[in-house]
Amino acid sequence: MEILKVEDLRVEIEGREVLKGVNFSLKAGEKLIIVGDNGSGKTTLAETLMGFIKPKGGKIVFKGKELKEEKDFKEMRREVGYCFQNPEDQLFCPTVEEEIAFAPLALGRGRERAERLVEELLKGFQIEHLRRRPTHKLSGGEKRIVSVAAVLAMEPEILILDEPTLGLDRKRFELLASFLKETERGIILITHERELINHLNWKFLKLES
Amino acid sequence: MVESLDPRFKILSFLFLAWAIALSSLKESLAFLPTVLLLSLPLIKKLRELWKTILFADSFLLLVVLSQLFIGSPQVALEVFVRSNLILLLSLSLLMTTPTFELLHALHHLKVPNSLLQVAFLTYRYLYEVKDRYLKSLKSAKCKGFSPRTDSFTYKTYASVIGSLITYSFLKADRVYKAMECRGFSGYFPVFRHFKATVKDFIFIVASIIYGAIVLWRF
Repeated sequence: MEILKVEDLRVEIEGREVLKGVNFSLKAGEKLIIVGDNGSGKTTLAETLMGFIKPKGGKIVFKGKELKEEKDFKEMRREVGYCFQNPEDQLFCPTVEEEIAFAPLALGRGRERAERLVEELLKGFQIEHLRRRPTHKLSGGEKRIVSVAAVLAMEPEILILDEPTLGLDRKRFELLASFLKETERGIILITHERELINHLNWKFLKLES
Repeated sequence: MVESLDPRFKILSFLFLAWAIALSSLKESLAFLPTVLLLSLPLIKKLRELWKTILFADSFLLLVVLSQLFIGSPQVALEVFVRSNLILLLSLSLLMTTPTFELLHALHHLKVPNSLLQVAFLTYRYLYEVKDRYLKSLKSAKCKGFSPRTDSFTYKTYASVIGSLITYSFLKADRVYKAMECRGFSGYFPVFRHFKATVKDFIFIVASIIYGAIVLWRF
């Protein structure tokens, strides 16, 4: 069954048409790569899917329900994780472990589950040593990986990742690539990374400028 | 030892001691001196920072002390100077031995309004980022040949840097709010690590109260 469906999406920003005729769908656990030139609207598409930009036309359907108002998107955002292109925007908690625990606690999923997720993700991404570090003092690559871990702690059905490998070192790049390959979650991946695209070999959507 | 105390107990004890010092006479406030110095022992590691802060605060205090010297009495001037410095040292040993976020968390337990704490938290969290951004912009301008002078070009450059900083802060606030919404933020910050009061915290607060009361009562 299709979990997310986008039909003939049209987006305008300040009178300029950024997206037109975007169509795709995603089944549970399905993966999609979005590619396109700079300024072709990849991030705009992600933000429209999350409800931060109001489309001019078309439909976004999540789990059979068309998303029209803010409350529909709010509900959807509990199940769809979005990892921003700039990790600096994503991290707002005092320490790494609190950053990861934020979503499960804020979504009312219980302390035990939050603790379990923190441990799993810190271990999974090999960032246990960063546990008590202030998020604003991390390096660019560390911020990137922590922001992915923080979104994964939501245990989302679909994960939207905007350029998640930007600025990562080789080790972390491979770690993230193998996570993406193995995970059973639905993923929408926005990337320019040719190596990653070849490695994953998923279906892709190309946005034309 | 002070570093490892529960911040809630630390705040209450320090508040009580500061209040007792504020009420004390010169003789009484000198009796507080050994305790304040003992509580400030962990600050030895940050001596330079400590001196800078004390000197900065004392430069304002000097005005009050001087005005008392000339208009009031030297006794009052000395009392004001000693008491203010004791309270200052006490406050610094609280602030410099407790991470800011733990302090805010403790204030939440002490019933300080949530919205006030959130504003303080976000201000502290992003103040450094805005400062970094400012310094980066200046660095970038210098890399492009800018050197500050007293001419209109310099003022224009500073105005551009500050203008871009305001725009950056506005956009940043919007992005961060979106990120918070994406991760289930609904008006409050959940806390991952909670405080656990131990016997030593209770001993510390009781000892502080008894000590303060004895000094005020006996001297």
